[in-house]
Formats: sequence, structure tokens, C-alpha cells
Amino acid sequence: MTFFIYRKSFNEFFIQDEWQAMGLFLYYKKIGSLFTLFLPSDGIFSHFAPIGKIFFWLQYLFFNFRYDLRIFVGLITHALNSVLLFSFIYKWTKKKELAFVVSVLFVVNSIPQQAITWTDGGNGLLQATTLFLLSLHWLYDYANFGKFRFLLFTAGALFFSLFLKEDSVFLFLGIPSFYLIFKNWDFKKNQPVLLAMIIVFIVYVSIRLFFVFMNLYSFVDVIDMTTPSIFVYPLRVILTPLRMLTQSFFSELTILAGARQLAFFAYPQFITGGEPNPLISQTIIADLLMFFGAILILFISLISYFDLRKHKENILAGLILFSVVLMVESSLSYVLVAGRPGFFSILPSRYLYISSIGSSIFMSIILYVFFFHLGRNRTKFIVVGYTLVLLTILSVHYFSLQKTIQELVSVGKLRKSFLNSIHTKYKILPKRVIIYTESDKAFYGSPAEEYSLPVQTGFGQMLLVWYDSTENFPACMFEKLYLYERLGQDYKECEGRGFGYFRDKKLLLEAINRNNLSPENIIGFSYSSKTNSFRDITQSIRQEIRL
Amino acid sequence: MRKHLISFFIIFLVIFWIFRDFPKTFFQQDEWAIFGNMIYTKLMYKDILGLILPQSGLSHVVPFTRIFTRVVFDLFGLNFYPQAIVSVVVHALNSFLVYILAYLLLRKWSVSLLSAFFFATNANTHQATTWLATNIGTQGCASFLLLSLIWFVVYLRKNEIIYMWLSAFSWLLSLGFKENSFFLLLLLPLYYVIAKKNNYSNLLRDFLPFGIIFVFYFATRLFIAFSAPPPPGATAAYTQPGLTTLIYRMIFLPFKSYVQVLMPITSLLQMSSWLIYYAYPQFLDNAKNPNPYLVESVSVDIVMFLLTVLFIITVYISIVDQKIKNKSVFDAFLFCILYIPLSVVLLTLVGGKAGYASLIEPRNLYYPAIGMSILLSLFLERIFTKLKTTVGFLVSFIIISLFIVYLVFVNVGSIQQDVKILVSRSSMRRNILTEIYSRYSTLPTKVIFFIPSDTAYYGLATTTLPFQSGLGQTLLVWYHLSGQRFPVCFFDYHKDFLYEIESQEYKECEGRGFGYFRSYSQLLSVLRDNKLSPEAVISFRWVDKNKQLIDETAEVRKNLLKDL
Repeated sequence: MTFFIYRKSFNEFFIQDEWQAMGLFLYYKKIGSLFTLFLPSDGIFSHFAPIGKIFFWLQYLFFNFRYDLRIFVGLITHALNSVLLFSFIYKWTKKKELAFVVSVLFVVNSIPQQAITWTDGGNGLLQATTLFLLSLHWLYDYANFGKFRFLLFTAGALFFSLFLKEDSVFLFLGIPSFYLIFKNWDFKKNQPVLLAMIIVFIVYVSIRLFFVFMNLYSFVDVIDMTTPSIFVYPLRVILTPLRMLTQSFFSELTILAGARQLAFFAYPQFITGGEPNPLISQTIIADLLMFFGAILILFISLISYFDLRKHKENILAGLILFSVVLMVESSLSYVLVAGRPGFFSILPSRYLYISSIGSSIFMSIILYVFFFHLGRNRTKFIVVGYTLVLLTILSVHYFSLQKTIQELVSVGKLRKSFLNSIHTKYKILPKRVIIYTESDKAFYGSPAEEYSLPVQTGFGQMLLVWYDSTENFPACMFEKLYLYERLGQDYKECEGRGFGYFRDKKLLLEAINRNNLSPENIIGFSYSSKTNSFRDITQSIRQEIRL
Repeated sequence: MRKHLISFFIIFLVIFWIFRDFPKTFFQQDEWAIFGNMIYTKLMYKDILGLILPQSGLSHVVPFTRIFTRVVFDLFGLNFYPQAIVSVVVHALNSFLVYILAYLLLRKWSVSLLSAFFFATNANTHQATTWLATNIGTQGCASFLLLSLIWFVVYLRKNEIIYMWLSAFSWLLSLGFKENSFFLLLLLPLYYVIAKKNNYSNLLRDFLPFGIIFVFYFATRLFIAFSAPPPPGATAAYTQPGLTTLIYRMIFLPFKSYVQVLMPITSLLQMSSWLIYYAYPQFLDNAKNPNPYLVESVSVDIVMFLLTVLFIITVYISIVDQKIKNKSVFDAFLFCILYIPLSVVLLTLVGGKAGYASLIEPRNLYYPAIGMSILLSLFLERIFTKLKTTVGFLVSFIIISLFIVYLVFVNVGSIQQDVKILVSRSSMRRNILTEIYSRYSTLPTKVIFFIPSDTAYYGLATTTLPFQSGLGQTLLVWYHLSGQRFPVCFFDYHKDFLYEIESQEYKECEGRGFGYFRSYSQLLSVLRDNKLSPEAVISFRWVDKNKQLIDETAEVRKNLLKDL
């Protein structure tokens, strides 16, 4: 089922951060210090995911530019996670049908699609989730059989998952609370679990602090890593779970459309030219809407919880509680996000991957409770109603996923065609080369005059990585993420090679004059957003330079 | 009985102490329009119908407010002091009625007294007492609303229909002061069902008095709506939003009313600013100040929404055990929980731009404050009882005392701060009027006041004197009530002559002329057009720095002679 749903994503292409990662691998490999790459990046709240990086490195080594193979790995992991979820729910409830519904909802859930469709976004996260699901199994076994080795496995899974991606950091709080749910709030028996978590926490923090104090880091992150005021964090501890709860059930587009409507009927003062100010409607108004949603979800879960308890369905009640706690606590991992992204109201889709486990469980049970009450022991009615609503939900997610994947495929094909077009025409580059591209449009919120190709990272750096297998550029070309900035354009010479990329003709001419380059060093292409064509204009640009 | 008398005196003493500086203030804004309107009705109509009927079909129908306003106007005129004292006395009486209602619901003297204190000291609602333009309607409505509730609770205890009639009649009287009490029509049946343990078989029979009163009231309103003229002024102010907006407001506005009536508005706005500061730094300006439009709209809505959720959960947890242990306490809790949001539901129908405001007008919080005062004291009593058994008397006593002290002192401090500001503004305004009148106590038959200022106030772009309504109309009323009689045409309610804060105009009718200007060029052209001599002009100049009014009549007349 996983492969069927995501079948079209095999045609996608690298989106964004993969180019940075590949550039860094090349750099550290060329300077003979590949180990450095596995150190944390600079800053106390920076990423440190050495196992995740090893994973990526292996993929790069074996798959190179084969995006389809990376997608394959992602899909395998997602499918594995779904199976683990199925077996966990079955282990807990002994209800095969429920476990099946939960895992199907998890597989089809379109909300966290980025974790699967974007290999760099999902890399590490998918595998960390596998370890998280394994830790749940072992924790449940520990709660039931009391054997110490299960607790050890749980702690170990948590420890290793943190080095795959820090998204599982919430489990320091999550594991003791899940254990309490498994053990029906027996606080006394929770002490060994708490102790295990404290030990893992101390070891993990010590490792991180060791790198900080030893000033060992791989590179300065290009993303904004500034830490906000200390008062921001308590506020985020309240707001982020509320955002997460609503976003676990409603897609980004639905929330933004709702926020737009809310602006129209509640805050007309922010409407100009017939449209709400997007800076307001997509942030603070969207938040208000999400807070309404979150309180409604919490209210529904409370009512369902007590209703299930009343009907002696204690296991299902426990599952409801587990799902809400999981959604709420999984958001806490993102409270520490540094820089501007930490203030975003809409969480990136991949952040919702773990919480989508909770939302799948929640939806399955709430639907059951709803139809159970509506049907009043009419089994046929319950089964038919439940199935119909479930199929509707699954269809919505399925079609939404297909639409997203289709968009990614068409963008990916276009980007790949840029690289292929240049590489096919110019298999071997001059020792000193500048690649110039012109465009007729600004993309991704750039200022209107900044025309560029529709790519999300610097096209110059993409070319460097793409050509490296045949050109074998010196390490200096990958130093300090040269040309990685999305609108970056520059020319540089080092170790006998010269490489540059420009979008602006004026800057191109300045670089040619400054570096005494001949027209033969220039390769030019032109992109038309209207016809989606990418033409070779090398001859005409060389002619223009000569004049 | 003795303890009730003691409570009565304590409440009065506390309120008179809190509002002790209030009589030192002065009329603020709409009072001048009301005075003008009273003069108009007095000169135009000799019968009571002319006074009590609304001047438009769709505006408020508040006959008792109109009658009492007229009585106060005839008795005291421009004498502020007795009017202020009456306002404080009525607020004290209302607080005592809150005490009686709480006592009837809970049968606990201390909790009832605490409820009365919370009501008396609520900073958000002091406008109902300190703004004389609205106090008669707001306080009068609250008095009879409370009486209606009291009789209703007595009815539930004694089951004698006379009390239901008294309740219904009090309700009608409260509606005659202001329509805000309309919600009782929904609240009382709901509370009836709760109190009667879901036995509502006799509901229709028992509510017959209310039914009859309602039919009478509704028929009267319908008759007036179809027979009176359309509303004056801009129709935008009466425009109703779409159905979606109304539904949204009907859910959200009552919901957030809990916190809005509980916490001082300044505290809510402060928290709203912090929210922008720490969660939405993109809305800070270069000086790190949050965008004020967001602070007073979406942001404060988020703050109120989250605090309301927290408040309801906390109160519910504190009281839920009473569902079984003490049903009357739990019923009182349900009564308050229903009363607060229902008391503001009608505000969702506020038309025009005002309907989109996130914060409810302070004077309209006077009604939910009744329910909140009882709920809050009930909540504190529950916490006190719970802590007493677990943590110990001393600790619980200290915590509760600190909480009460905080709530009361923050509110009392806020009221006194606001009154202090009013006192300083009022003395300035009173001095200006007295100064003008003392210098020119007799006016020519045709007179124009020319009073420019060097400062702009209240966010206006033009420079005016520190008055919140048009100085021309204020002077007109001030002189009229001081003996300089002007004909009725100057006070026509539908034309609002010189009432707008920036207005400047000259008008002649029935042999008299009156005008007010701040612009010299406009003054000149009016003098030319109406062939008036410079002798008709009385001129002053306002210097904000020294808070000084300088008489420039002679100099201006000389200049006018030259320029004409």
C-alpha cells in the first residue's frame, strides 16, 4: 500500500538541503577529514545527528544522484514503521481491525508527507521513528512483564534515535508518561523508568556539552541559529502543542484558508484590496484558529475518554489518552528550534510525522466512539458508517498526496532538466568557467527584480556538485558553502581552477573584466517561465561579450 | 438580620472610600449631548410621551432612563456633585443587591460579602458609575435585573407565583432602563431546569408572568419600530454583518467574557503586548513596540481565549465534587457559568465597526460582573475548603488572602488611578468654561466664539481644546443653563449642532445667532457672509504648556476690523 500511494514520488528530484549535504560531503572528503562532518554544527542548540549523517553518506556513496533509490529507502522505512505501529496497537488492544485501521491511516496520512517525499527532510527522522516505535514495544513489554532488559532496550532505542535526528528528544518526557498510561497511573512503579530516562538524559547532554566545551564542530550552519529571549520558551511550551494538535488533523492549506475566512468575518480592519494581509492572517490569525481547533480536539478527547471508561473500554480510553499525549509531547521537540523558524506558526509538514501516529490512533477511536453511540448496538450500521467515513478520510488524504507528489515531480523534472541540459551540451568544462543563466521571473518570494531559475538553493552550488564526478573540482570550491545561497552569484579561482555562476549580466561582465576571462569561458542558458523552456544562449552571450 | 445590616454599612463605606474623589470630576463627553437633548425635549414637548419615546424607530427604547435623566437634569442641572453622589449610592445599592443574591444562592455570609466586594471594586466596570452619561441606564437596569434575579430565587425556594410576577415585573423595569437584561428570558428558564433537577413539566405554566410581560414588551417595541422615524446619523453605524460573523460572535464573544470581566483590561492588554513581543517579533517596530492594532484585536483575543479555557477548567475542578456533596453550591456555580456569557450575548448585534471590537465596552461589563463576582468568591471558598483539609489552615489562609488582596488592590488601585486622571482633566475643563463665563456672562444676541489652540488632543490631526466633544455645543449648553436662553432650534437632536469634536459653524435662527470657530479664515468668511460686526466675536487662545486660556477678544476684534 505504501508503495502504491507514493509510486509517483520515484520521479521526484532533489529539493533543497540535499545539495548542501552533498557539497559538505565532497568538501570534507577532498580535504581528507570526513570524520569532521559527523561532529555537531556550531551552536548549543544546533543539530547533532551523526548516525543520520552516516545514513545519508552511505546513500550518497551507493546511490549518487539516484533520487528514486533514496525514495525507495524512505518508503521501505515508512512501511516498516506502519507495520511496527500495527503490531504495537495489536499488542496493546488485541484488536486486529483497529490496528489495521490505525496503520492504514498512518500510511495514507498526507499531513506529514514531507518526511517521505523529501528525502533530506525524512532522512534520520523516519529511522528515529522506527526506533521510537520499537521503544514503545519494549516499554509495553516492560510494563507487562517487568523484565529489566526491555527497559534497557527502550532506553537504548531512545539514545540511538537522538543521534539519528533530535525529533525524538521529547521522549525523555514521553516514555515516563506512556509508561504511566500503560500502568494505569501507578506512579510508584514509574521510578525505574524515570531513573533510566535521567541516566540517558545525562549521558546525552554530557556528549553534547563535551563537543561544545571542546569547541568541536563541523561547520557554521547557514540557517539562522540565533536563540531568542529565555521568556520565549515557556510561551512556546504552551503554544506549540496547541498548534501541533490542530495541524495533526488539518493540512496547512486548510488552516490558511480558514484563517483567511476568519480574517474576513472577525478582523476586517486587516483587509486591504479585498484580501487579508497575509503576514497577519497566516501567522497570528492562523494561530487563533489553531488554538480553537486544539481546544475542541482536547474537549472531544476528554469526553471520549470518560465515555469509554464508563463503558469499561479501558484499553481504548488508554489509547485515546496515549494519542493526545503523543501529539502534545512530540511538539515539545520543536520548542527549541532556533532563529526565525522557531517563530513560525505553521509547522513544517515533516515535524508532524511522529504526531501523525497519534492522530491516526485518535481518529480511528473517535470514529468508533461516534458510530457506537449513533448506532446503539446496530452492528451493521456501525460497520458501514465507520467504513464509509474512513474511506472518505482516506480518499481525501490519498488525493491530496497525489496532488502534492505531482507538483514535486513537475518541479523536480524541471530542475533536473536544467542540470541535464547543461551537462549534455558541455560534458567537459573549461578550467576557468562561468555559467550564466537568465530568467524572466522571480521565484520563492524573492524581490520582484531578482530573476532566477525556479530552484530553492543556489544553482551555482548545484552545478558544482553535479559536475564534480567528471570535473573533480578542488576542495576550495566547496568551502564555506560557496554559491549555496539561493540568489548567490560569484566567481572564484583556486588551486588552478575557476568556477562562477551569475544571473545578473552586469555582474557577469564585471567578473569577466576583473578576472581577465575570455568569452570562451562563458556558458549561457536562458529560462522562460511562460514556455518552460531552457535554451542554450552560449554563442549569443559570447558574441555580446566580444562586442 | 444584624449581619446583613453590618454588610450593608461595610459595602457603603468601602464604596464611598474607593470613589471618594469621583465628585471632584466633571461631565466628560456624551453628557453635553444629553443636556442638549433634555433642553430640546423640554422646549419641544410638554407631555411625557415626547420625553420617553425614542427619536428613531431602531434606537434604544429606554423610557425609565429618559425619565430619571430628566428628573436629575431638572433637579441638579450643571451641578455635578449631587449627581456623582447619586451614582455612587446606586452603585453601593447594586453591590448590596449582589450580596443578597449571593446569600440567597449560597447561604454563606462571608462568601456573599466577598461577592459584593468583587462587584463593587471591579475596575473594568467603574465607567458605569463614573461616566454620568450612561450611569442612569446602566445602573438602573442592573438594579432591577438584580431584583428580578432575587425574586426569581425566592420563587424557586417558596414556589409562590407572586414572586414570579415580581421577578417578571422587575425585568420589565430593567428593560425600561436598558435592553441589556433581555438575556434573562433565556437564563431563567435554564436555571429553572437546573434547580428543578431537570423537571420542566411545569415550566410553561410557571413562566406565564414572563410570557405576558414579554408579549407586552415585544408588541410595544414593534409598534415603535414601525411608527417612529428612521435612525439619524450615518447608517454604517447600524449595519449588521453577515450571518457567519454573527454566529462567530455569538460563540466567541460570550466565551471570552469570563476573562474580560475578571481581569483588568490594562492587564489583558499588557499580556497581549507580551504575546506579540515573545511570539510574533515580526510585528515589533524599530523601537521594539508591538503593533497596537494587533495588540487590541487578534492578540488580545488569543490571550482571552486561552485564559478563559484555563479559568473554566480550574473553576470546574474546584467545584465538581459539589455536584454530589452540595447540590445548591453546584447549582449556584452553574448559574454563574451560564449567567456571565448570556449577559453579553446581545452585544453580538452591535452594528458597524464597533461590533468588530475585541474588547467589550467597560460599561457593558457591569452585568457579567454580577455573575463573575459570585463565581469568583465561590471558587475561592472552594479552594479554601479544599486546602484546609490537605495543606493546613495557615497556608490556605495566606494563599487565599494574598489572592483576594491582589484582586481587590489591583482593581481598587486601577479605579483610583482612573479617577485621578479624570479629576485632573475635569478641573481643566471646568476652569476653561468658568473662565469664559466669568469674563463674558452676558452674550450679544448674535455671538461667535473664536478659540484656537496650540495642541491636538485624543489622537486628532487638528488642534482643539482638551474637550472630548465639540466645545461649541458645550458652551451653548453651559450658557443656556446659566441663564442665557437660546431657542430650541439650536438643540435639535437630529442635527447635532456643534457636537462633533472638530466642528466649527455658525447658525442663526429665531432671532439668535451662535457660532464657534478655531480657524481665523473661516471666522472671517462667516462674518462677511452674515454681515456681522467684529463686536460679535469673543476670543480666547489655549496654551497647553501653561494650561492657560488667554483672553484675546480685543486684539482679535481689532484684527477683524482690519481684515474685513
